[in-house]
Amino acid sequence: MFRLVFLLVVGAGFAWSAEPSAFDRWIARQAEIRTLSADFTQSRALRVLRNPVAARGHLWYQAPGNFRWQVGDPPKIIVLRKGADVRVIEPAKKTVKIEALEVGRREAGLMEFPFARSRAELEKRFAVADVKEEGSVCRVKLLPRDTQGFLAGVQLAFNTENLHLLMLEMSFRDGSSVRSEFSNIEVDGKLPAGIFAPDTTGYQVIDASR
Amino acid sequence: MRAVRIALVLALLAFTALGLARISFDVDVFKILPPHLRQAEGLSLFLKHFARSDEMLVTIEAPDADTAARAAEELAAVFEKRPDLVARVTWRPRWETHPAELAELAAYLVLNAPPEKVRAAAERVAPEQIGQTLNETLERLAESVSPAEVMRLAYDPLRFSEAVEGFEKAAQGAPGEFSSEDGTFRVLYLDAAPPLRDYRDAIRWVDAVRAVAEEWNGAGQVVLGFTGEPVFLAEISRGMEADMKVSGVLALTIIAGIFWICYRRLRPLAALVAMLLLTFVFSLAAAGWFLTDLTVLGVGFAAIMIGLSVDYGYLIYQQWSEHGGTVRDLRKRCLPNIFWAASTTAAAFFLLNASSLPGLSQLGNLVGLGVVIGALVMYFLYAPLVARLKWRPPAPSGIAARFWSPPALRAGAWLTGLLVPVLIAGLVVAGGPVIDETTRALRPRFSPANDALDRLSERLSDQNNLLWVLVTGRDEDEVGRRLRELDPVLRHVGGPGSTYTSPEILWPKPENQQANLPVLQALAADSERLQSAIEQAGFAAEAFALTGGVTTEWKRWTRTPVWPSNASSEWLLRRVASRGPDGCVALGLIRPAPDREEALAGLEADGVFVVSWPQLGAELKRTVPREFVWLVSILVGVTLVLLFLGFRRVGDVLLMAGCLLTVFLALAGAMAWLGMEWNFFNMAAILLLLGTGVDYPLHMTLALRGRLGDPREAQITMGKVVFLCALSAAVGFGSISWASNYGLASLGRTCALGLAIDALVVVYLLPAAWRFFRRNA
Repeated sequence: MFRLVFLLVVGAGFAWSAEPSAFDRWIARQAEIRTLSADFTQSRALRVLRNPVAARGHLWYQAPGNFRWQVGDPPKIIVLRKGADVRVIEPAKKTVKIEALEVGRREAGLMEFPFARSRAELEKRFAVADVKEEGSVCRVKLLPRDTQGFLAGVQLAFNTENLHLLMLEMSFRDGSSVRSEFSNIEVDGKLPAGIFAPDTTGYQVIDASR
Repeated sequence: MRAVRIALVLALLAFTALGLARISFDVDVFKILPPHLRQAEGLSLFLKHFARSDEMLVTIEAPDADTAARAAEELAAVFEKRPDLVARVTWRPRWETHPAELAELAAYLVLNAPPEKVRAAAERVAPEQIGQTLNETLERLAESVSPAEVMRLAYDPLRFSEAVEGFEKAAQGAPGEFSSEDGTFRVLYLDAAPPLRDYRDAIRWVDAVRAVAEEWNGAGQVVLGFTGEPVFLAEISRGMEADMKVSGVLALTIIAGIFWICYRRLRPLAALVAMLLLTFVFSLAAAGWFLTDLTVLGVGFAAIMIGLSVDYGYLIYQQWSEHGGTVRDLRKRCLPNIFWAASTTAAAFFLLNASSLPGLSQLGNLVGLGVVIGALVMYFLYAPLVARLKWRPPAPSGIAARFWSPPALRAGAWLTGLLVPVLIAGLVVAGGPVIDETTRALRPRFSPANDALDRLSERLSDQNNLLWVLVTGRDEDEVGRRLRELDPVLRHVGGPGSTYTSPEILWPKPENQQANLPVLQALAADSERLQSAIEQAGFAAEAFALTGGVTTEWKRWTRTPVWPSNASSEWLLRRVASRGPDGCVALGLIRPAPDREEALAGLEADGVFVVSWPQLGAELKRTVPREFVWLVSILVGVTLVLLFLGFRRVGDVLLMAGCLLTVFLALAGAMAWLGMEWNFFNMAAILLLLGTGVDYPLHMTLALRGRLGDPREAQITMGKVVFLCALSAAVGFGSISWASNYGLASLGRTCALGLAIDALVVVYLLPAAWRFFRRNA
C-alpha cells in the first residue's frame, strides 16, 4: 500500500502537451512536489473477515527519495524508504528489518517500480479502464496488464482543483482489498526535523537486503 | 576326444551367453570418478538423494509473460489428459490449487518448534486469553504492511505459526521453482506414470512425452526444453549404445577396407573380421563376469580393442605372405612379436587399474582383456587358418611398390624429419599444453538435456558461486545435531557477506516433537472452542479452515519422529530432506564470500559435504595429474625392464625410449597447434601410447636386428606392418572421437593423433637413427 502511494507521489517526468486531462495533470503534478504530509486511514477487507479492519496513520515525503509511512501514533509500524533500502521499524518489538527495494517490491507483490516515467510507460503496465470526473473529484480505474499477478485492479481518486490524492484502493485476486483515504494533506510545507531518521538505538537489525 | 571338444564348445557358449546377459549400461557419471574424492562423494550423494529418477522437467520460453503462463497452463492440461504417460504434472505451487494440504506442513512446523514457544502459543489460546489474542490479530491485520504476514494471520488468527521462526519462508518453498522473475520462462514438473525400470523404459517414456509436447507446440509458439534425470538417462544411454555400435562397426569397416587395399584377398579378410568379432564377443562376455555395468568410458573399448587386436592378424598374414611354411613355422616367427606387443599393450591398459578413476580402470580392463583374448584368437585360430588354407596375397601393386621404394622412403624421412621439429615447436610458439580444469570431460559432447538444464539454472536461479551443503547421519537426531553445530561454522568459513540457507527449519526434531505432541493434542481436543472463539471475534468461518486442518493433523499423529507426507509437504521436503535405509541426508545451500569457496569445499566435519561442480573440477585438478605422473613413471619403469629383458642391449632400448620421447613431445606440440586441451581423461593417452606405441619401435627394432645385412629391407617389410597396425589402431581410437562423452572422445582423438605420429617416427626416423648409431658403434 505505502509503496504505491510512494510511487504515485514520486513518479517523475510526466509531461506531455496538448490540453492534458485532469488525470494527466495529476500525474504531472507529482514530479513537482517537494514535500508532502498527510493523514491516512487504511481499511483492509479480507474474505476471512466479516467486516473490514482499519488503522490510522501518517505519511511524509520529501523529494527526491525520502518516504515515511507510519501506522499509529505513537508509531506501531514505520516503513522508511531511504536510498536503495526499505526499513520496516517496529518500536514495540524493537526491530528494524532492512530489505532491498527490489526484494521489498517483489515480496510485497503489488507494483513495479518505478511506477511509470511517462504516460506511455504507465500504460505499458496498466490499462486505464475508466476515468470519471464528478464535481471536483476525479476517479480513475487501472487494470494491470499482467493478468497472472496478484494485483487485480487499482482505483484512485484525486481533487481536480488542488490535485491532492484523496483515495487509493488496491484489490487483489483472492478477493481482498486495501483502501487508503487521505486527509490533512499539506504539500511543499516544512517537515519535522529528523522525520526520515528515527532513533533506532538498541534495536535489533534484521538485514534481509542481501 | 570329440565329446571333450563338444563339451568345451558348449561350456564356452554358456560362458559367453551368461557373461553377455550380465552386461548393462550405467550412466552415473560418478562411476567414472574416484570414489574417495570428497567432492565426488558429496555430489554422488546429492544425485542419489535429491535427483528424482522419475521426474522430467519441461521448460517453456516465450516472448512475454502472458504467453508463457498460458502455454504452461495449456501444456499442463494436455499432460493431465494423458494419465498413461504422466502421473502428476506440477506447474505452479501445489498449495495454490490444494490449499488444504498446507495444514499438514503448518501442523508439522509447529510440532517441530521449540517447546517453550509451543507452550506460549498454547497459553495464548487458553479460555481466559483467547479473546485478547484474537483482538491483537485483528489489530495487526489492519496495521500490517506485509502481504505475507496478512495472509498468514488471516488463516492463522490464533497465531500458532508464531511458535515457528521463519514460518512464512519455510511455507513458501524455493523461490523461482516454476517461473523466472519476468515470467517469460516457465517450468513444468512431470512424474512418470509408467515405471522406469531401466534405460529402455526411460527412452520410451521421454520420447512419448516429447512427442506429445511437440505436437501441442506444432506452430512453435514457444521454445520447449526437456531435462531431468530420465532425460539424461535416455540421452546418455542412447549415446552409449550408439557409441559402441557405431565406433565398433566403423573401426571394423575401415580396418577391413585397409586390409583390402593392401592385400585384395577376400577370404583372409573375412576370416580376420570373424576373428575380431569373436574377440569382441569373448571379451565382452568375459567382462560380464567381473563387471555388470558399462560406463560411458567403458563403451569405447570395442573400437580400441579391435584396432589393437587386428595388429596381430596383420602381422601373422604379412609374415606368412613373405615366408610361408607350416602353422608351426608361422607361429614360431610371430610368437616374439605377438607376445611382447600383447604384453606391453595389455600391461599398459591393466595399469589403468592403478588410476583412481574407475571409468579409466574399467576401460583399461576391457581393452587389456580384449588384447590378450585377441592375441590368443589370432595366434591359435587365425594363424592355422592362414597357413593351412594358404591364402597368399597378390604381388604388390605399382603404387604400393613406389610407396616403399628407396626414394619414397628418403622423402618420407625428410618430411618426417621436418614435421617433427615443427610440431615440437608448437610447445613454444602455440603456448604449450593447456589443461582443462572444468568437469566438461565428464559430460556428453552434445546434450540438449544439459543445455536445457543450463538455461533453467540461468533463468530461474543464480547458481554462481553456489555450493550444496549435504549433512548426513544415521537418523534424524544425528543430522539435526550436525546441522546445529554446522551453522556457525559455515557462516564463519563462508566469510563476511555469505548467505546460508539451512534446511534446519524443515528438518524433523524428534526431541521437540516428543515434548510438543501432548500439548498440541490437548489443544486439538479443544478445537470446537477455538473455532467458536474465532467466529465470535469477527472472523468468517473460512478463517478456521487452516487451524481446523492443523488440529486434525495433531490428532492424527501418535508417534514421533513425524515426517509430513502429503503431496504439498513432500514437494517442499524432497528438495531439502531425504531418508532411507542407509540413513538421513539434509541439503542446504551456501553462497560464500568470493574467495572462500575452496575453504568451504575443504571443510572437514563428520558427515558433512560442501560441494559443487567447479570444486569437483578443482579437486580433480589437484589429484589426477599427480596420479598420472606416478602411473607413467611406473609404466616407463616396467616397459624399460621388459625391453631390457627382451633385447639385452642398452643401445636398442635407449633408441626406442628416445623414439617414444620424440613422439610424446611431437604429440604435445601438435595438440598445442590444434588447440586441443588436456583433460582428466585424455591424460590417459600418455599411458596408452606408452603401452601401444612401444610396439612399433619394438617390431621395427626386432626386424632391423634380424636383418643386419639389409636394414632397408627390414624397414620396408616391417614398415608395412607398422603402418597397417598404427593405421588400424588410430582408426580404432579415431572412431571414438565422435563418442557422445566428451572425455572419451578427447581420449580417442589424442590417441589417434599420437599413434599416427608414432608410426611416422618409427617407419621413417627410427631406421635412419638405428643405422647411424650402428655405424658409429
